[in-house]
Amino acid sequence: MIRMRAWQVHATLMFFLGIAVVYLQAYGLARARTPWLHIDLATVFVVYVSIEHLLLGALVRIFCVAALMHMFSGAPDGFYLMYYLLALVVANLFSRVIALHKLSSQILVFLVIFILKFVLIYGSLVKAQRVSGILPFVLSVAPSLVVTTLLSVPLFSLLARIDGLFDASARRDHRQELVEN
Amino acid sequence: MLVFRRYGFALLVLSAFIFPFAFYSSDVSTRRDLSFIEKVVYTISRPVELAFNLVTHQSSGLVNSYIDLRGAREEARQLKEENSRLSVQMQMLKEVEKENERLQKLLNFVRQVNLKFVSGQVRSADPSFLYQSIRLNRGENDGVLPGMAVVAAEGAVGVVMRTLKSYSDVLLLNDPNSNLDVIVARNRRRGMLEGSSSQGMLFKYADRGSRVIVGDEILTSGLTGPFPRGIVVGKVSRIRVEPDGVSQSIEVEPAVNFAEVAEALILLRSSREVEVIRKLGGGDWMKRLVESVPGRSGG
Repeated sequence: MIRMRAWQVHATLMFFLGIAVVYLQAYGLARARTPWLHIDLATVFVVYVSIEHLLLGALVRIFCVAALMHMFSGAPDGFYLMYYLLALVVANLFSRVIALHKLSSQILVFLVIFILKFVLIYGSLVKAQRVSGILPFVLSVAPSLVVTTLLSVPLFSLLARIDGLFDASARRDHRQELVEN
Repeated sequence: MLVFRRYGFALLVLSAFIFPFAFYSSDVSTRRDLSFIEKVVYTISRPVELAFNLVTHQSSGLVNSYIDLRGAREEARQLKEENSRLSVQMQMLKEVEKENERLQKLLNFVRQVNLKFVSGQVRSADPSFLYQSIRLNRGENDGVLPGMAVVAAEGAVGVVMRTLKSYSDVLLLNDPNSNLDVIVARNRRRGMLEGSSSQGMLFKYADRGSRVIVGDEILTSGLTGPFPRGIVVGKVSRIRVEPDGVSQSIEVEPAVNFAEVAEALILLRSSREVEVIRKLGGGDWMKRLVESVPGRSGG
């Protein structure tokens, strides 16, 4: 029988949570007929691990989420890796500059990251000469942007709660291991 | 490890800001085979996928059964009526068919070969919400290859862009990367149908002198790409004159409601161009295909 330390269980759980989030988005939310259910759970997950987890662990999870998203999506190669890396950097920089325990600052961080996503997509569409104007594009992405921004903070709290079930013992375990080494 | 702890974030910031420059300055395509890392991640995530498959299949089955039961009586009555009407129509059409056969023989027409197909169920959709693709539960094991056409009862759906053992990803016609050679049913004028993220589909590069009006039916041309001739693609819904006053933007409303497609047929007839390029192109065949056509895809 394999014995795992608490931080290993935590890392594995968060890894599979990331996978489950992408599948939930692809199998459930993306098939919804209304755009008001197009909630970008994967980005919320990426922002969460960017802020709350150690950099190396966050990077591994983000790579996996980016690879899976790319597998499901028609987006150009490397798009998700680029976007999630930028999201990681932006979220980390914001967390160093402003107090993230305030609701308004949390919403601001998410809003900036979601807008960044649409700017990147718009850039790739313009490059491929596939958009005729910015207004139709904005109108088409607005429901997703609004609903994801509104739900991002509760989803962030939910992830923190799930994470918290394993996190305390995992951090203690991890710190002890670092001291031993 | 210590170096990563000290300089990791700075390196990450640097790479995160260099990446977009590389991304936008290079010609990155959308469709290709899975990379090694993607295959590893996909293999690890297979149990999660199977669980989601099971749950979505069961839940949609339950919902559908409930809906079916609710409307069964009314539907049976309607079907009976329709059956009688169709029986009469069929008798009339038999006569037309006989006449058609006679005329075809006279004109030395070659009868179209019956198409082979496999039906697949839609399992998931594009999680980006902006790019448009679906995943069908048919893959290489069922003879599906990239570049094959996908149709629904209402009309053309898209082109297979990537295949796995038991799944295939289909690029829908309204995806920004999609191109399709089409004709206007009324006057047989040729043009190119491009996907647009916000406006459904746009009819472009029409023959010189083509006159297109709102309501015109758009069909597949059958001249290039995997689609046979005459499959309905959509109807012209809006014509706008561009700010330059010369060109016009022709919006096409798809015949298929892509959000509601639950089942689709994959035509087991690969595109002639795709076949040739795949044979000659080796490992990079998809990249070469994308480069060989104007725009970005080979629909």
